Amino acid sequence: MPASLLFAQTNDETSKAQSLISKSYSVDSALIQLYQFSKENPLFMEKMMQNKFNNLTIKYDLNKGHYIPVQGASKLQALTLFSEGKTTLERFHLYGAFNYQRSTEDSTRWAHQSRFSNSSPYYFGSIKNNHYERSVYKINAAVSRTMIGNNLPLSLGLDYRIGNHFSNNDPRGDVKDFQFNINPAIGYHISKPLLIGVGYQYGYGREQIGVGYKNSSYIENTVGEIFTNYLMSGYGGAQIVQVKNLLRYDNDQDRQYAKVFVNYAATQNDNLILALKKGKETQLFKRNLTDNVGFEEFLNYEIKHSSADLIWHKNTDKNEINFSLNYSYDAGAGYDYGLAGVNYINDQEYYGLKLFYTLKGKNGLINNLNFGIQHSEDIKRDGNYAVDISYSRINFNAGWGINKQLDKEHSFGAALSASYSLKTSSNFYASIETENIFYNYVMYPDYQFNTSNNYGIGLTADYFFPTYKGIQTSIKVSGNYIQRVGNYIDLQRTTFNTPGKDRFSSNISLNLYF
Amino acid sequence: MKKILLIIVIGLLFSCKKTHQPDVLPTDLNVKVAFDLANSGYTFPVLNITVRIKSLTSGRYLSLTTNDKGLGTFNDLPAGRYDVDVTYAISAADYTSITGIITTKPVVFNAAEKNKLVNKDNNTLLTLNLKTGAIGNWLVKQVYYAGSDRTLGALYRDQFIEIYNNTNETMYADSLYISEIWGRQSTTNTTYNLQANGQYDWTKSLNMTFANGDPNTDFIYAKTLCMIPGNGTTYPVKPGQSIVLAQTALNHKSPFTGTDGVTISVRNPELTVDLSKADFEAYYGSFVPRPLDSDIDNPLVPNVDVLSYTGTDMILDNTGRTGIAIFKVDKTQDVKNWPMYNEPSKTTPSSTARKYYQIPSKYIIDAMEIQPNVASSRLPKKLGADLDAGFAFVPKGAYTSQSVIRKTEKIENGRVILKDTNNSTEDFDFLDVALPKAFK
Repeated sequence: MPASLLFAQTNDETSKAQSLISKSYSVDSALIQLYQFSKENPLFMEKMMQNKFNNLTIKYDLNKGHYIPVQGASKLQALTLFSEGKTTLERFHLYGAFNYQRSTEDSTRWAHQSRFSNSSPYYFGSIKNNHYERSVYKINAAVSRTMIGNNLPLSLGLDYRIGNHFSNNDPRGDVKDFQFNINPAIGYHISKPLLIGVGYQYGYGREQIGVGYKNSSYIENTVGEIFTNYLMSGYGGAQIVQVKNLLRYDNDQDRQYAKVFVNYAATQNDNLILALKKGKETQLFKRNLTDNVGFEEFLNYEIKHSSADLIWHKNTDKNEINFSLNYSYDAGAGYDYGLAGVNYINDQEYYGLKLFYTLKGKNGLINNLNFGIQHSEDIKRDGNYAVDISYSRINFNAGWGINKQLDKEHSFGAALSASYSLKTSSNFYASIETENIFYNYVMYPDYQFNTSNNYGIGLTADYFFPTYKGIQTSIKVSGNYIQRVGNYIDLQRTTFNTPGKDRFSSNISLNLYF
Repeated sequence: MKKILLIIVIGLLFSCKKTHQPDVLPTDLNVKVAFDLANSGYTFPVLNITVRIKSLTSGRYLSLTTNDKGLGTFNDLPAGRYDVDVTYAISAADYTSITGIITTKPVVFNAAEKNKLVNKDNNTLLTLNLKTGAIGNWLVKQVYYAGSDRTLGALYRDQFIEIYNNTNETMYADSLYISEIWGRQSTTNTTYNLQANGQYDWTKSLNMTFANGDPNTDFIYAKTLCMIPGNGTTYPVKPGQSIVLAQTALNHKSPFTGTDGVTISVRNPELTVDLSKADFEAYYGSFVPRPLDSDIDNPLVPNVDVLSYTGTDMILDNTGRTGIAIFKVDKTQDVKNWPMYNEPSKTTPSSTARKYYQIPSKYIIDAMEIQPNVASSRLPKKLGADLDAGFAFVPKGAYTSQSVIRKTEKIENGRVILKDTNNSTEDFDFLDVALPKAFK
């Protein structure tokens, strides 16, 4: 046998074996949790991320329905190209990912934003629905290695994102954004099983937002209210900003977080991880003056973040378990320069638990079970308008999936999931005396949406088969349906944009594991 | 170890969350209503007078009624700018009883504070002095200043002003003066001396005199000043009838040939008006070196006498930074030789700088102010509350065919009586397409 052919066969076998390993990530829901955690915290990349895991995904998403927050889109289509890979180079563990998404939103309302930071309290909007087109590129890279033998792991993660968003009907938005984050961390094994680590995240970014009109008659017209451009600041007021040279502004973002990690590894496959994160992000909304001598500041929004994740992961030949307790708290406060004080408050708290259990059958049948309970609370206050709104809810979700190995390296998977979301408390205060168009079109329907109960069901099916050189390929189809339960709260106020009854989301993807 | 980590997480759950409150609070606006009666020797009760405010952010109205001291408080207002208005009518019987002056109609008093900034640094007591003005015999009925679509309509050449006889007697339009008022046209220009309310401080105008009154409160200033010709009885106007002063008295729905020989067609006649039967026309061609090509003299329509003008035709400010005042004088007055003054610029104006007629308010029969439709583009008021406590505007703005038109108050024996409270915000509505002699 010619050496070249032998070499080719060896290569094929290697790639086939590698492909099967890579595929295992997609069928083992407990394992993928650990993988995702390692991507966000590269300090654990060496220990917890499978080597030479590579995949390429092309995915099409379609979401449709009116059971959405006011500032959502009733119809969204997205095409995503995603690729990631992990490898080693001598003692360096390297991870890289590329994600490109092009999406269209048929009816975006009241939010000319990049959707990167949804709690931002300063934005343009109109009654008129906008057709938005968005292109977002993301690049992630990470490297880690142990510096002294198998101790002193050191890691560095870099994330970069750039986005371009525009609407092609009046009042048309033009939004550009970029984000960059750098994420170094270092750890030390105090003892063989116990690792202590610290990390730091620094990031900055910018959104540049402008709104304009192609049809100039909309600028001069205050009767055609649907085309009027409003500026929202806080959670109460909507000011008409409708002149020929519309205000363009930047949102400059800056964030710093400190991280602490504790990893107790009873065995190589029995890990307990605690990850703590604390820090803040500031968003400065400002306009650069045309003479380049400075800028005019409108609002400074600061989000103080605290989070804690406790993860227990155990892997045996027969099963695998991933259990996590999660907590996060974001305290947002917006200092309004016009009002000379903190006018806007947005506190978001979340805690919950997640359990993923994978049962590895001897006959090539894998069962994935998952269960979760999460509690979330959202508080919005606007001092100038004396608005005080809050709601909390508890979400239950559970799922069961199987993956059956068939002949000739074919396999088939299916999963079923269900969720129920229940409002647990709510508070609404917004004076009728100060009611304005923002109340009618955003605040009231938003409150109705966020205080509604709902259930959801999901179904996923995928089929794996080997293709060129044994590369495992899958076609995956999934659909989710969510429906409101009961009626919306009747505020006894004039409410437009009341959310609908349900929403359907689906996607189909082609996945290559190599 | 597992227990320790769990305790840390639970501890974090209860240690991070704190209650946050904004430190900005809504603001109260305290108002006081008083009657501006100078040295009259009598006064009117100030109890239960309605004060109304309009948020320029939301467009929402709020109102209150005053206590026996004329005081009231709007509680918990969001910071921002507001229009504050008071219109109060005293019945004829009460007015006669208190003043001894016999009248047969209710007497209307007005006060206004436009574009009032309300915030925590600006919450001192706002005093609103109620004034009464002349309640009209001649009234400005309709002003078509917006013009029509630039490509489908007639641009601004179809503008007109309509004046109405609101009495039950025939009146003569002869020697009736019609003026487009003047004042600050831009809020960004900082080269002029200004009053506290943001309007021009005319006391700082070059060579201003003070002998006949306060230049800011006792006079208005004219950009354009025209006079209806006649010998005193040439142009009778019957009760409930009106006269129309056209920029150019043509049927603007039809093609016309301009003075340059070019024929202009109107692509959508529905957007404009037929002014061929206007009662008067402002024809500038006889005295302007290069009049507007569309300024064609219609021989069937008498021309007004033009005492003061700008530009090449009687082009009203189509964005709405304007107003109309009408007045008559007795024979002792020589209006043509009334004093004219420069704008009160901070630097000395040149000898060729434009001057504006100074018109004593005491001669004004009716005046109404117009403002841009977009709240953020509005200017400090040119007219005081004694002449017009409010303003009117067409909601669609410039080049939209809309006109402002005075509301019908009532109809008596077939005669339409128009509303006149000296507050254009209350007195005026709009027509979607301007129409001479129409009512609303």
